[in-house]
Amino acid sequence: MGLSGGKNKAIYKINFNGAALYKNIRGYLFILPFLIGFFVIFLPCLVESFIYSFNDVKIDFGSIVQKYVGLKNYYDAFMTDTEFRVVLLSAAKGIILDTLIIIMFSFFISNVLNQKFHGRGLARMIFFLPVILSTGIIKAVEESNAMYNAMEAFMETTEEGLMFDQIGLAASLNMQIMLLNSGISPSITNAIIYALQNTYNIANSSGVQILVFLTALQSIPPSLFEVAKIEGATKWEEFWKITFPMLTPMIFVNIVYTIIDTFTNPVYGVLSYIHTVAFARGRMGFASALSWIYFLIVMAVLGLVTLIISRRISYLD
Amino acid sequence: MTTVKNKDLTALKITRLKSKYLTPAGISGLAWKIARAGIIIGLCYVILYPFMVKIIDSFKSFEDFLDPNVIFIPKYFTLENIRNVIIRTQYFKTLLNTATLSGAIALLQVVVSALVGYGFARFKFKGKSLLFFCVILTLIVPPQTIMIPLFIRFRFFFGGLNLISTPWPSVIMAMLGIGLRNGLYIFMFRQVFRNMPKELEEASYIDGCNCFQTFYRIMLPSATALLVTVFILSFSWQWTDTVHSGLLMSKLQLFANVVERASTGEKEIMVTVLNNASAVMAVLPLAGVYLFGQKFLIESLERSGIVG
Repeated sequence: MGLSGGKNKAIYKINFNGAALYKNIRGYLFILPFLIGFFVIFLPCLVESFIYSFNDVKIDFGSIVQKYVGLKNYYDAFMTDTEFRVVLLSAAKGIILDTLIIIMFSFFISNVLNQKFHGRGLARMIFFLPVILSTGIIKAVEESNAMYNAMEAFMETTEEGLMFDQIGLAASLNMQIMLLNSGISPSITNAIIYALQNTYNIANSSGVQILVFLTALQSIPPSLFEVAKIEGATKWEEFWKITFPMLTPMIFVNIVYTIIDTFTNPVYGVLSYIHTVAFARGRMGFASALSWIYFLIVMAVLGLVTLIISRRISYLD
Repeated sequence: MTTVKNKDLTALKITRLKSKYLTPAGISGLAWKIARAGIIIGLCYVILYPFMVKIIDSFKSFEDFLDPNVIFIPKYFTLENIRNVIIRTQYFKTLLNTATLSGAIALLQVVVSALVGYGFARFKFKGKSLLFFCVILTLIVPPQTIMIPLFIRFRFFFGGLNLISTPWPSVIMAMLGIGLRNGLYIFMFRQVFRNMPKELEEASYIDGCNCFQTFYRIMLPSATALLVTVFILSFSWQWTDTVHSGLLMSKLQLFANVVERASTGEKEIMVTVLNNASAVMAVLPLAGVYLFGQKFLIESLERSGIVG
């Protein structure tokens, strides 16, 4: 009896190892499509784009012509090309400012949408609508309209258009002066004016972030609030002692998501500039260098954010 | 007698209201309610306003824009713009093309992301965390960085096949899990499958299912909400995508490529109006999809979607 038990054990052990191996292979089987996609298409493309950035690449009669030029493309990007620096700098500024504003906005809105009021379902639906509708086509059309209108305005500055522009400008100038006079520092004032002028863009690009915060809010155990109530905490204390710490991991997730989402946003013009360089001017190697510079800068920003924030996150579990 | 009673009742009501709202807490609560309503209505207005203007403008004729009295409601109501959009963008043909492509790609992305997400969530294998970082990498690298090699790759596919301006590049990428925002879908599926109870899986193994049967008989049905969500997201992001459509499929009759044909030969304000009308008409079917699926969308994202 004991012998057979030992035998069984041995078989079990072999089986277990076999199962472990089998399970290992099964894991690879399930992710096989991605493995092929990543190693056959994505990674080679990434590497090629990196190599292109050191080359002069042209498509000539259906074949690719490469010429090694070393760091010239990178040198050109910063030294010769005057446009890129300007676009890049304004994009970097825009990304940082927008990320901050979007995070604060979505944090606030998700707290509001978490409260009970009439028409909450409808309000949530409208806030998430841009996630579905206001991407790609609508953005592209708005951009091209803006370009067309700017061109029109440039060619024949109609009185009416000018007047409207001045009214808008005057209103924001007034506000700016008021804020400055009340002793708020110029950089904050500019940020506030920027946020007000971009309410539409910000509300449009906060859908997913609001959703993430909302989820986190709903996953806070209600018992925490009950305890706080029994101990006599005010709503204000509840917010800073419970809600805020419980949301900090999500703030991190959202910041990363927002940075990734905003820097692929065509609004900042870097991507469309790269597109122009690559396909209209045919300088594909140079365009690759530009996109790698852009990508590395954003990665640096992401790394910096991770370094700063990840230490201050409070995890409950 | 009854009037007295009524009076009493109203007095009672008033005192109740007083005790509810005329305390410091009540007043600040009421103030917050009003402010909240203002904020929410205001922001909803901000979000919906551009759509409203685009829709209203598309029923205006050129005279309406010259007439300073006309602000919202058109005086010279016309369907000319809509007609122009339908003719110039070959609306129904484009609709069919876009819907077919988006549907096919969404289906592929759902299936592949679910498989890959399940693999990452439920199995242990060597290099798992590194490979999962690769998934995140596909999400972080902007499409424009690999745009040029991708273009060249599909221009000379397997040495010489020109796949540019066929639907194949997008289909191949969706099949291999590196399509538009595919990393995000894989991530979402992984989160959901990881949170499912282990007993479900064990029971089905004991009942003699192999791992694929377990996957599609037991695990997939429990993730219906996420399946619908990913389908809707993938469908609508493919529908409105301009990056891949413009680069790899620029000659196909998709909305992303033909929206701005609506304004050919127009001048001044009508260019904007027709472009806007055409863009709204292009995404209009998506609004229907959203209305149908938003319950699933919000629920499943709220429950376990992106939040890790």
